[in-house]
Amino acid sequence: MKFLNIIRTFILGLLLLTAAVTNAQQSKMESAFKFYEQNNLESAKADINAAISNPETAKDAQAWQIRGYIYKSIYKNEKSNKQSPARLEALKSIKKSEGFDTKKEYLQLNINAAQYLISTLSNDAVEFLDPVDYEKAIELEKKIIEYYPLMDSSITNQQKQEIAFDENLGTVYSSILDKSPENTKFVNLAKGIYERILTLDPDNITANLNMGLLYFNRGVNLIISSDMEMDITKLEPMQEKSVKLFKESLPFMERAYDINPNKIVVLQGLKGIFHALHDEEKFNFYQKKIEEINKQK
Amino acid sequence: MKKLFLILFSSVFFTSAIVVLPDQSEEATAHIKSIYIYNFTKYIEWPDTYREGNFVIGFMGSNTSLFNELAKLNTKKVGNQNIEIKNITSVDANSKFNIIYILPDNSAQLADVLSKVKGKSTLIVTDKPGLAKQGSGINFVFLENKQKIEVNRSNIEKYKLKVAITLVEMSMPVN
Repeated sequence: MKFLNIIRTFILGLLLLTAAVTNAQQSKMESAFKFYEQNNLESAKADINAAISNPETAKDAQAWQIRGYIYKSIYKNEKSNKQSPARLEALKSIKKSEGFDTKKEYLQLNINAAQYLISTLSNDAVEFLDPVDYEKAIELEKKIIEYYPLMDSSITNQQKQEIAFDENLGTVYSSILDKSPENTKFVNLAKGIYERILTLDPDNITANLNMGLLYFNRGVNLIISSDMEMDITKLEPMQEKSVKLFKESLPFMERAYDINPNKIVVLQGLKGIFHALHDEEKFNFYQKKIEEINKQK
Repeated sequence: MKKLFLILFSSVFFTSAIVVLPDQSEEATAHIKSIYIYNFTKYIEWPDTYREGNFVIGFMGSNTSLFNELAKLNTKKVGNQNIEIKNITSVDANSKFNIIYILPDNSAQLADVLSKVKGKSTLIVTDKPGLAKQGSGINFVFLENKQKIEVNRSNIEKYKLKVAITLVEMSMPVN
């Protein structure tokens, strides 16, 4: 009997302790939120990290959402840091919250936070899109792809975003290739980018045009970079290679023409290809079209 | 708490970009023709009287890309001679050219040029189908999308020029 009383007392004590701990964690979450409201972000961070470290609140959608917003505010204070770890921590928290939010109670606030954070990632990626920093842009784009579903479940919209980024990245590669046309690394990177876009969207006029230009420019550069003193015996194989590139360029440029037959840059591309292939009839056809369109302007 | 988290989302996503086409195909064609012409100076031998002073190439016609490409030869030499590219509209009986290159639009002047260089050692280069049969020594033609040449050996040798067999072998049969 005495033994049973001891057991009862122990269980009761355990229950009380658990309740106290649970309350403590709940209060950690509440205090974190209060600190957040007071813009005391260091204390907010300490308390929310304590709350999510505890098994009781480790799977609490609200706790993770609060954490997301706290880190979002920390990021806002260090916004000049385009590779801010706080921004990624915020997105990670929002993703956790979304995962634990089975009743979708916190959905809209999670979407709002994700929209803000992803739009800043996107802006920073745009700023990195240049021949020097493009790899940082790629890293940010990877994060955008990872977290995009938090703000928009439409796969079509996500693909549009990816395509737009790839188009811009392709432009960066092209600008590098303008300076060093036979840089194999960037030729392959640019080809990879346009192939990826065309897999997602075969009617993408920019990708068709740029893929056409990629081959065309390589064909032209092969010729114009050749030494004026090149022996006549080497002219034939050099021309063979360039003609092959011009012919590889053609289907992409013709596809771009099918999509928009009045786009001047496409018509100029086709005119250039047929000039390079010495097809006078087709060269004249596209030349005439360009003149007609220019007259209408 | 929810009320506090009202965010204005400004969508600043990427916009499409297009690369501007560098119109270099004319330059490429011109470059190939210039390489050919420079090769003519190596595979054709002029008599001693034409190996003095500048090595003069007359350019008859108007094609800026081609002229600019050929003008790059101004820095080069043929033996001890400096290459000089001259833009010409006609040829007079007293002028001395190592090569005269007649562009397609000026092909009608071929007969006149031939009459003016009679007895001289000038290589006549043309750029229109059929002209190798009408008196030019070398005629540019296109075949299988490539720039090629027709060499009319007798037309060249008529002007006391010697043509290397390699050049003849690299050329198309005269049509």
